[in-house]
Amino acid sequence: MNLPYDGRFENLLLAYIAGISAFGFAPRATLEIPFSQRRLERIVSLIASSQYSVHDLSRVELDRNAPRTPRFNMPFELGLTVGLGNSQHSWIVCETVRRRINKSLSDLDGTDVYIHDGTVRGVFRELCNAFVRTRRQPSVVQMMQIYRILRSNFADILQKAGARNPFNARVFLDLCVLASAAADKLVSP
Amino acid sequence: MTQAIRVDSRFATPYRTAKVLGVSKSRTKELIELAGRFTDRLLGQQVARAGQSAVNGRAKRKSAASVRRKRSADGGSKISTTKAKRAKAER
Repeated sequence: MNLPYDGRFENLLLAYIAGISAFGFAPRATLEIPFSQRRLERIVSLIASSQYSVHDLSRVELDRNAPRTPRFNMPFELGLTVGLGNSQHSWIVCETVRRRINKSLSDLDGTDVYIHDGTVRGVFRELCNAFVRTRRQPSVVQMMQIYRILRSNFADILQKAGARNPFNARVFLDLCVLASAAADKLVSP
Repeated sequence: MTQAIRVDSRFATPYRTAKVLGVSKSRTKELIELAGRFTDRLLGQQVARAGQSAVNGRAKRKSAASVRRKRSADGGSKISTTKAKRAKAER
């Protein structure tokens, strides 16, 4: 998952974890990787070890903190994925606003972009449009159930990790395992 | 029209996810139990709802039949059906 790590994206991070787990995938994100000099190499190895990747390019606007800048990490990591040229790797691009990507990243013209409207349900809908499982195809209702389980336990998980937001390695890992356990029970074989 | 990606890979179990992500066994067990509490309740509610709708369906059918029998017993308000009319005509 290549997503923006900002407070306004908290709901959508949980939605992506719920939706991706509902498809029987183990979510991976650079949140797992500690900040260090070898970070870039580890990002590349994380992309290379994944069969699918979801790139959310919603945050193209300037952030609130000075100096105000757009976030380049997501388009950069999408570029790395495309640059690796692995034919076994499938990737999708998500956005909040329709046709904005034609302006922000026109190199993607001709690529299907999934517009989730910035909503949890929109993320589930677009993941269902993007992926089709031959067996154990999850529904939006099941994804919503998993999301609600994550939401119900979110405060407790944050407290245990001593964190304030989910953009933290331990919180992310706990949420992924919790979502995977819920998906395994709810998405029937 | 977007082209969906066909997924044939195995569905990840929570143990597999935890192993991939490097989560400890004890924490994995805790999280699976936590998820189980919620999923059991959800699945229980679904079963109860399905059972309730089946009972309601049976109750509706039963009550309609008993009303028909009661009415025909008094003789005054017999409900005539197409089948009954056809039988009468044949007589």
